[in-house]
Amino acid sequence: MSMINVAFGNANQVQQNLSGILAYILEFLGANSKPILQVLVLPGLAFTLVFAIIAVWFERKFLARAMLRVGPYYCGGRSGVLQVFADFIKLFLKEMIIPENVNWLLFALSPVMVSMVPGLALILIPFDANWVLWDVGSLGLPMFLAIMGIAPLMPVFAGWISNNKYSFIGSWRVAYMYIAGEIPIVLSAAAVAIMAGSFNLVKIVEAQKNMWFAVPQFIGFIIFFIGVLIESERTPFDIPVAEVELVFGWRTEFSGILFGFTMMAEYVMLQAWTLLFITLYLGGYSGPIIMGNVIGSHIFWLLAKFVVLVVFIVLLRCVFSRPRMDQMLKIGWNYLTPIALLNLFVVLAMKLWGIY
Amino acid sequence: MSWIKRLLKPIGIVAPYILRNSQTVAYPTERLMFKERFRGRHQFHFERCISCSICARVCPCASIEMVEAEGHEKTYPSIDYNTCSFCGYCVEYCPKQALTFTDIVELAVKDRSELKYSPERLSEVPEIKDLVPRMKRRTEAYLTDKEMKYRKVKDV
Repeated sequence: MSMINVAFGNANQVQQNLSGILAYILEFLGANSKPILQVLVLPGLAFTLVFAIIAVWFERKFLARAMLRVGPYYCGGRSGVLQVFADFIKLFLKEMIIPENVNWLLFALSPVMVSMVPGLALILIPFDANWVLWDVGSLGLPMFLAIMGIAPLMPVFAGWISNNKYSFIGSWRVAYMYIAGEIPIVLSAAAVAIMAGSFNLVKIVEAQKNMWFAVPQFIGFIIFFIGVLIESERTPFDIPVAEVELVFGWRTEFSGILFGFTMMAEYVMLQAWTLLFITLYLGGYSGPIIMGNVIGSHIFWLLAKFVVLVVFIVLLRCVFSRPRMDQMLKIGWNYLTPIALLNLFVVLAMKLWGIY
Repeated sequence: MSWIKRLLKPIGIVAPYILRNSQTVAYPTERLMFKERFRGRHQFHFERCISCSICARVCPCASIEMVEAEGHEKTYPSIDYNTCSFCGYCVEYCPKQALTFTDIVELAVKDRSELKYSPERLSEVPEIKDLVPRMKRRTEAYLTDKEMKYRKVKDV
């Protein structure tokens, strides 16, 4: 008894301490309600998960329509909305096979890392002028590109830890492809930063009050869009996964929910790059420009542009066929990179001579 | 600049497909009515057959064998659906139209030996409702000037 008294004081003091802790938690929640909401809802968990769920369903249904089929049908009525949840439960309950001679901890962690790195980049995106989870000021754009620069390492790591030749070869295909796509993206992003006069993502959005950068930098806009397709492994550039020809590339050894994580990583990657694309070229959260006036800046506009862009990217999946690996590298290094460099120099010249 | 056109043209072709109707039928619940000339499972008519065995001789897959049937005097064709290619020669060459086609395609069985149909079995055509218990309606394909559409014929 005496020891308890020494440690916590008497009963009244214990009560006081407990109520103090409760008050502290409430105070903490009240003072930090905005960042907590941001972590849990908008750029954070709920947005990422809800997007992945809706995107998987929408993609299957949309592709089915384009192929004159019906798509997922039985789960959740004619719309098949519950199919995604059924698939999730299936993946979750399946056996998680871990190969022999594999460090199981790293093996189990690597798919989580693959989907976590692009999710980390999401926190830099300005959803509104006051709605940035991690406002790093003038480091926004370089920080985003640096975080996304780590992303290609994760599939390489996952392929290496699988202890399987085919996974390893597949992972190097990812690395080839990401690097071929990332350099044009960085060059055209640099051109945008020069035109806006800042690396701050909020300031880049504010600089597009008069005209979206998609218009003066149309070439950069196209190059960045192709880069987004390459980086997020969307068809026509889904070479490392190549559902029909390969055995799912670096994902060969992952089964059960680990495979589910690798699938989710694809959508998180798409989400991060598409949001950056909208921020840099399509005016971010600012509304459409009519007669030189911006009509209302709101999160809604960013999400509306995001939806339209994702629909277009899914449409591309049922239109184009997949190029070979060498053709893709040729597109990346022989065409996109020189044109992006040229675009950068043209923007520099425009800025120096004060044309724009 | 022709490559730009080549890139953009397929998008314009595929995009309208999104608004078109599905060209498939939800099979177990609804089943298509096939046309009269559709080559499905055969139906055999005992009273018409004269046991000339032309069908067995003309069959390119050698699936037809003339066998005796209970309660009948002569030999009659039995068809082995393991090898039958549904070419329709037997139906075409039969002088008395003793073999005809039905629109039954549900031939799946668990044992391959069950695919060898005796003349008695060929003469009986089961109800489509027994073969597909989940079927609720039968639909029919028809052509408009743009595309193929489906309409309900009857509820089963």
